[in-house]
Amino acid sequence: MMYNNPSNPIIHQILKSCLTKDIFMRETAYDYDQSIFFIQKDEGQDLIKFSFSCNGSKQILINGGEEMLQALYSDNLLPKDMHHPDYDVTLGIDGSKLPKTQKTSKKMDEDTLTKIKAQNEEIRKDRDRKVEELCTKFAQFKRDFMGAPIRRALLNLQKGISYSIQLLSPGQGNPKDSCEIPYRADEKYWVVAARNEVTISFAMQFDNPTDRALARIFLLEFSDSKRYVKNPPAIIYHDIKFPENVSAIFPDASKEKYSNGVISFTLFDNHLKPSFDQPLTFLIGFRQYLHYHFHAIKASLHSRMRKRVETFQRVIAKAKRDQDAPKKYKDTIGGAQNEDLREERKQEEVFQFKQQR
Amino acid sequence: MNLATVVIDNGTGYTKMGYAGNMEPSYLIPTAIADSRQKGATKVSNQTEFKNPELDFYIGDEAYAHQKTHDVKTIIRSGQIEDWEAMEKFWHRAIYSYLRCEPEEHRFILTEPPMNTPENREQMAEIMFETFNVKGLFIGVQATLALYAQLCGPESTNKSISQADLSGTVIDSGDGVTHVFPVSDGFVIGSCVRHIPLAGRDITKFILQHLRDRGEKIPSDDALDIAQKVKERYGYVCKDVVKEYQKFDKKTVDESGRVQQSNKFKKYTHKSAVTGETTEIDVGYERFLGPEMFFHPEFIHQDWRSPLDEIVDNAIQSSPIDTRRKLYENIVLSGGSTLFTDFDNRLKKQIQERVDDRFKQYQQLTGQAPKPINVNVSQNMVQRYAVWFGGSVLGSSDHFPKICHSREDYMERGPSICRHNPVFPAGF
Repeated sequence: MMYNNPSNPIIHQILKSCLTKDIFMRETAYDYDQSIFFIQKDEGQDLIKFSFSCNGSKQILINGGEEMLQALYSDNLLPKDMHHPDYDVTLGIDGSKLPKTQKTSKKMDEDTLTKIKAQNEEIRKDRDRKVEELCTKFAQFKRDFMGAPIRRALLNLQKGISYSIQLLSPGQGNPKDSCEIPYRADEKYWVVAARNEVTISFAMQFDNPTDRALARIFLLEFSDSKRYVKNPPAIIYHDIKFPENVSAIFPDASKEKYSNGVISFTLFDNHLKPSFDQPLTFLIGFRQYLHYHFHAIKASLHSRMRKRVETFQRVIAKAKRDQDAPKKYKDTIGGAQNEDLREERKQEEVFQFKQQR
Repeated sequence: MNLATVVIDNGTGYTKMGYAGNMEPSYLIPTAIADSRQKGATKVSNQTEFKNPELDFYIGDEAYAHQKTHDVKTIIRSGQIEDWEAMEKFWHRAIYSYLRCEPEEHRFILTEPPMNTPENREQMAEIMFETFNVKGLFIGVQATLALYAQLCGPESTNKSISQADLSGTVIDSGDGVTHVFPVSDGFVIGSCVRHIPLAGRDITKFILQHLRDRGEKIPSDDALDIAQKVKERYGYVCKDVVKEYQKFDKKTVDESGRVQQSNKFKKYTHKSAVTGETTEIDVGYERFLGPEMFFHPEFIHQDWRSPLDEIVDNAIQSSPIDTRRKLYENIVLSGGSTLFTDFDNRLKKQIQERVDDRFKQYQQLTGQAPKPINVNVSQNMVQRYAVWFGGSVLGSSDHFPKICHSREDYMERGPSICRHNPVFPAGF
């Protein structure tokens, strides 16, 4: 996987089978960053309940989550009493809104039959398309939801509205677009919005010491790779010192120590064309992308180790032992064997040693 | 957040993957990997295209889709993992792109064939813990998991299960090979295991041969695909071959005086994905001749003459005498190739005949009449992925964290901890 794919294939599959067949479904699926999906559908009913839960959902909902749901998923909002208690967000998908095909009966004459069949073909194609759209939309739900605060900041950037940091006064709270989201159990990301740019900073924490070492090398080199890409965002890796623009707004943030520092991406207006999808996908999937490549590195290290072990084994198999190939000396008359000579010499030594004593 | 266990069942033909607690696996993909043709070149920087040949591989159905540009190979042969590198890559892609989970936070259940060497288990454990850093690992024997599925699955009413209940004969017929495993008290009786290298793939080839011999027009690209669909949709096991032939050949005369063929003949329409044209094929005797190979393997291969019921009988008769009754009374079917309609009835009838025969002879010889054995062949709801389902039930049970090997244990003592994987904890 070189590209971060925002769409979750399991969700896509489940929703497709829910929408095309009338089945009973209670399935839990997982996604990156400790997020859980739960899809529920009863037989005979058209409503599919789609529940989602992740870290930091409260902060996300306050900081742009609600707006995102209103904007993108307004057809699917459910009243509070239908929400699933164990999950943070519940949406409903109404299967009955899809176009339905007409039933044909044998009593109709040829003309109407062919007409209805043609219509049904059209309706079926339309329905398939709509099902595909819905499934794709919901399969990307995790990215849309967890990236909602970033999306809000990017939207306002695009519109040209900005909130400068000077507006902050002790009692006012944070500037409207900037926020801190604990999107994983021990990691956060911060969005800092300024006049013509948005900076998103990710704290990197890895538990495994190998992961930490690899992360350090990777992140240090990461900002250099900007040269190979057209139109890159500005990347700064804050290895030791905490980024100042974040601690200006969130003074408590710098108190926590992260194993691999903080990496900041700064996006400008030109990164937002043609749509938000690409920046959002890449940003939300960044940690996963790193993690994937660490494991790929380990896997290729292992395969190289295995190859070397194989070559060593081959070398050892070729080696022969001296004992297996006795040499015959030509200078002894009668053809005394090497062993006898050695034995003789040994005995001579012993004899001499005894003599010396 | 208590995250569910991931269950991955790698079989010779197909891999079943999903999360524990669900009824079905989320994915059923072929165990194949398509590697890039330009391996060895690892220079990534200073190129306009960031294509690293080592990461350019596809697994499962996508592997077959990219057949023309990549080298496709199957990773598992006869149930055993042949190529560890390919397996590691397969798992990597499966965990990240398909299951989309973070291995550090989930426990994993993998499966292994019985008679697997402890070194293979250690290798599996090494890859899982070193590369993926999983939270916990359990390697289950496929036959035992299938029995566990039956014991503790959705249809069971047992509230208290003991290890002794995990006894029975598992007939696992998948895509590559068919096995008969007698299991007693949770352990597979290794010396009594029987293998028949004929399974789903061979039935498919046989059906294809039959269709071709009859002159049906089959596009060569999708030939195996068509044969497989015909087998799955129209195949069934008959009670008696001769009578079945007669049923097929029976011609009825309907009201208008026309002679009708028996409705046992079916038509199959295939729409090619590549060219889009549809071909219609007649399906006839191969409907029942294909699955008949279980009971008459000589149809397919001259070397194998014993029917399945004889092999099961031999396997059980070679097991310790005190286990035999339990083995007869709990024969469990698992795997895709056992899904044919009436497979269980036919098998049960034939095994019961053998058992009754033996009893009669014994009675004649000694005059004693022991309690008769009722052979019981059970098909359960989740037969197609019985092994996966067993893993799912095990992974969501309360005692699973006790029997699963944790990462801390691995770091402390090394891969040898995975040599032993009990299904029930001690003192259950």
